[in-house]
Amino acid sequence: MNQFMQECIHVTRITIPLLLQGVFVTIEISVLAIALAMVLGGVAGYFRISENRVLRGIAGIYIKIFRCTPFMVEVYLAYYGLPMLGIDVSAFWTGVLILGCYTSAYVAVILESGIRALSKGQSEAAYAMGMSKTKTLMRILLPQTISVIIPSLTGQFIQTVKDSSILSIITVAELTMMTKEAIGITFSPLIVYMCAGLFYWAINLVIEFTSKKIEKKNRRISV
Amino acid sequence: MSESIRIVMQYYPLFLKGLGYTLLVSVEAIIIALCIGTLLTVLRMGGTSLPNRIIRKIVAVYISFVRGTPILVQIYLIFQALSVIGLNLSAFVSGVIALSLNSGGFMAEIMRGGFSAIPKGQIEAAEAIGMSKAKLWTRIILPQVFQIVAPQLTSEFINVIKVSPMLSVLAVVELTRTAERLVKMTGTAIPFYIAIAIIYFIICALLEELVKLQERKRIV
Repeated sequence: MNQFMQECIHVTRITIPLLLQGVFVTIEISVLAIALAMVLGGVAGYFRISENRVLRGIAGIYIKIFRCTPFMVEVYLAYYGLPMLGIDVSAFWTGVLILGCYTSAYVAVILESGIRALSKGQSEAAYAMGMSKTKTLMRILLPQTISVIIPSLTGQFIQTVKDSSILSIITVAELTMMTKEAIGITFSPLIVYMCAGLFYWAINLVIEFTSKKIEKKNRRISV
Repeated sequence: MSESIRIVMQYYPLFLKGLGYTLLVSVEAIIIALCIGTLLTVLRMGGTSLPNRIIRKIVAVYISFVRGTPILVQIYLIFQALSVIGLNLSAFVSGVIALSLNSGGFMAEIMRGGFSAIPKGQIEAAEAIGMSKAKLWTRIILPQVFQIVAPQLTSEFINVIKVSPMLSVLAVVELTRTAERLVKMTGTAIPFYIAIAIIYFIICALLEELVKLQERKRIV
């Protein structure tokens, strides 16, 4: 038992600096991907609630394609497909791009359902007062939606952090990739994977905690 | 274009086999996950005595861990853990175990939502007429919970199908692994990946329609 403890300590001492490097890359990728997803998802969500049938259809197909295929397959397709289209970027940016696109489909659905859940009277009243469409959306509809959809957006962001682990298959040096590297050095996969799991868990608990704080604050304002 | 289609069609029996494995893994995982989810829900909704509270805490930590770490890490972790404790299971079996432990955690969360939708009066009424705990769960609570959460359970099934490609890291030869092998064999990547993307898309899109159908049925 004592020997096992010693091995544990030894392994974690080598592992943790390596994993911390991975944690930073994971956070970097997730933040960039979430930013991209908010932009793309915002556009797609806007298209979904517009009156233009064509735009609605296009956004619908975009969302359906990204939601109904496994992320791993999308990653492979992006990894092999982007260079063929003449877009020659590093694995890191390929990862950011595909993770952002994938998340944006979910963000779009969350935004769409959030705005649809508002009562019709809100937008009608705004139009009746002579507000333009953009102004209605920006001033009336979105502020009300944001506080409602924060929990689902948080869930999606946690999912994004977790999905970033799949980028290890295209050699992005994030947490899971670094885990494999640490195993190559220490030869004790179980302990290293446990460390990796704990790191992911910690990141996601922080996200969850922050979102609960924001939610609480919002509730206080609205009451 | 036609060249790509030809090269994919040439290997279609392999794809069928891979698809079979994907479906087999997913269905097995979802059935075991249902059992795990139900068990966790029952454990979680016990009384307020000390052992019950401890159990509830353990279940909460388990669910939080499962939901807070990537499935890829869980798959590796379980594969390694099983071999450390001396169970040398095949990649297929440990993959199914990993998927179902993961999905079970999500299932428990879904079922908690369904549980809270059942009026308290029903449970009290059942207790008042002297129903045993086991009967209360199997006759009153669980049937209603399953009815309420049916759409979410189907969505969870979609999720399981969508994470099943990750078992390819354990060399389970399901659809994605089949494609990877063919890519290595033939040296062309895109046609194979597009082919499996289409297969996954068809399955998931059909299941999504089923979710919509279930939701409509529930409202009516």
